[in-house]
Formats: sequence, structure tokens, C-alpha cells
Amino acid sequence: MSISPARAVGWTIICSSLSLFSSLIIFELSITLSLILVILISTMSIKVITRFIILSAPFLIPLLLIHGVINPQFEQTSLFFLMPIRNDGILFAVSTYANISVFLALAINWWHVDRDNMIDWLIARKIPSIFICLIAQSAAMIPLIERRGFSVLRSQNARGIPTGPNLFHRIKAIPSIILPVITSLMNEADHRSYTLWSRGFGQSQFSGVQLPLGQRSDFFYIISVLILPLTVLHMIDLL
Amino acid sequence: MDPKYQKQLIFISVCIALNIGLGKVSNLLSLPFTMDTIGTILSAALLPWPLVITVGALSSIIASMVIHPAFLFYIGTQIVIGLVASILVKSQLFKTIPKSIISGLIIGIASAVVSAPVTAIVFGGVSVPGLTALNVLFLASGKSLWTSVISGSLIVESIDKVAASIVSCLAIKRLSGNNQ
Repeated sequence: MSISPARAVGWTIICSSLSLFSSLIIFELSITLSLILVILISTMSIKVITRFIILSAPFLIPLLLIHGVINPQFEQTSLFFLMPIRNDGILFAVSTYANISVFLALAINWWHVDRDNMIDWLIARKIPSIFICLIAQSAAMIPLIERRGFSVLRSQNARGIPTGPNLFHRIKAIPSIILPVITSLMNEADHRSYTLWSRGFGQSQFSGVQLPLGQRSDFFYIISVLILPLTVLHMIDLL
Repeated sequence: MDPKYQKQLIFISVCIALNIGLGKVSNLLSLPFTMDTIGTILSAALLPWPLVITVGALSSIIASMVIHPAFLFYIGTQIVIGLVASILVKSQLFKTIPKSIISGLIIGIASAVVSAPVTAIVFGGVSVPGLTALNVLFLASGKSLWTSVISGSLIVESIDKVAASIVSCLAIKRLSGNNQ
């Protein structure tokens, strides 16, 4: 089950606006929990919760440790097994985490949008095909680089070139692994360009997929473009 | 579309994919560097500066979609790296390895200056594990959050960007050798 792009835009607007106009910790955490619950119901996948925990735990634990225990800018309020506890620091850590968590929940919301639906949706909204092609091409090439990097690593190992286990060997092996990946990809760029040309890319005006366009979702789209930068400014305390 | 522009379009895609893919390959090798700016530095050698900015910006956007959403906040860092690298390429500072070390240090300083405020304000000093550990070390020694994050970023980014610049310099040499 996936989320439709229009719905993802809708949730982005609602959650960004709510978090924009309030910086109460409880309120922001409630927005996060509600959004996670909505995604959970929409996708019927328990992975949503696991994803949220995997993404947010690396922030919560270090934040509590840095500001609640170590940061000398906050006054020490008590001791716990010789460990200084700073209440203001804990409050600051939770507040920062609440801000981050809304953003992470929104990101998970977008991760559940089906890729093909998203591309059709963007084309239907007259987003230039060059922009869509750039994103799709780059995303498609990432696994190729990983696979190629892994196969070059195995080939170099087979040739007896040390690629580990100590740090010196690993650093010394960087050029012998990364350079072949870069040069092969750059050389392939020529062929990819000819392939695109032979498939007719950019040779005529692309009309796009004709999807029914609701005025409301376009309105949501425009508003989200305006609200997202405001949310980022709010997060960095400039608003 | 002009075949020249079509080729540039493919180069942009390759450079974006290199930024993200090589970051993952360096994880595979358990390297202490992230190598996530090689694509941007290479694009500075191959493309005009507005397209280098596009490479930087799109790298952050796509990385936020495929790796971690936090990458979106570092979009400014990638753009600045692209601009600085374009200037350095024009000044012939990627011709030799010693010169590329100097370029790496310059890019590292620029990158630290732009990314430190994001790490300090948005993420409260939390970043990749190595940098977070350094920040904690500086904080424990009595420094303020801002000083700790800037000091930590300067150390990590300088090492990372020098490594990326050396690899980029070698790649540029190899690619120009292939084209001759």
C-alpha cells in the first residue's frame, strides 16, 4: 500500500503549518505521533514504526547525552551515579528532538509515495521533463555504482591488492577501487547520451501524461512550496 | 535538444549518482571518509558553474530521499562546495596532488563554515558518529556548543575534503588521459 502524492502534499501542509505556529514540545510530539499513525493506517505496514525508530533514535540518545549530561552551558541540577544531570539541557534536547521528529515523520510520509505515481503526478503538473529525467537517471545509477564498487573490490582482492583489514590498507586501496568506478561511469555517459537521443528524448515537445487535475491538489502543491521553506526557517529559529 | 546539452544532462546525473553511490561504497570499505563530494568536485571540472550548483542541490535532495532525510538540510553545503570547487578548477588548483591538497583544505573550511550552523542549530550538535564524538569531546573540555561544532566540523571536513580532492584530481587526470 502506498500514499498518493496529493495526500503526501496535504499532510506536508497540515503538519508543517501546525509545527510552524507552535513550538510546544508536547504539541510537536503529538503531530509526529498522529502522522506516524496516519501513515501506519494508510500503508498497513508496521515497517513505518521501525523506520521512524531507526531514523530518530540516533538523534534522541546523543542529544540527551550531549545536553542533558555533558554540555556545560546548562547548569547541573543533580547527580546520578556520579553523572551530572542538567534539567534545562534535557528540556533543550527533547525540544530539538521534537522539531526533528516532525520532519522525520514527514520524510517517512514521502518515502511511502509510489515512485511511478509520483513521476506521473509531476509530469501532469508540467514539471519540466529534464528535471524528472535528472532525478530518475541519478536514482537509477546509484545501485549500479554500489554494485560496481563491490565487484571492483572483489577483483582487486582476487589480484592480491590488499584492501583491508587495517586502516592503512583500506585508505591505500581507495584509488584502486574508486577510480575504475568513476572512469567507467564517465565513459558510459557518452553511450547513455546517444541512447537517450535515439529514444527521442528532447526532440519534440513532451505532452506528458494526462491525469485528472483537481484544483484543490494544485492549491495544496503551491501552498506546500511556500510553507516548507517557512518550516525550515522556523526550525533554525529564524522565524 | 542540442546533443551537447544532452551530454551535460547525463554528466549531471553521473555526478549526482557518484556523490551518493561513492558515499555508500566508502561505507562498504569502512573508510573514515564519506567521499560524498567527489561528484560535485568532478562536475566543477566538467560543467559550467550553474550546472555544478544543480549537481550539489540535487545530490542533497536525492540523498535525502534514498539515504537519510537530514541530508536536505545540508543542501547549502553542497552548493558552496560546488561554487568553491568551480573557482579552484578555474585557478588550475586540481592539476597536481599537492595543489589538490590545498584545494581540499579550502573546500573543507568552506564546507565546515556552512554546515556547522545547521549541525548546531537544527540538530543540536548531533551529526555523523565521528563528528558527534568529536563534538562531545570538545564540549566535555568546557567549550561552548558552537565552538565545539565548528572545531569538530573543521577537523572532519578538512580530512574528508582533502581525500575527496586527491581522488578527484586523480580521476580528472585519468579522464583527460583517456580523452587524448
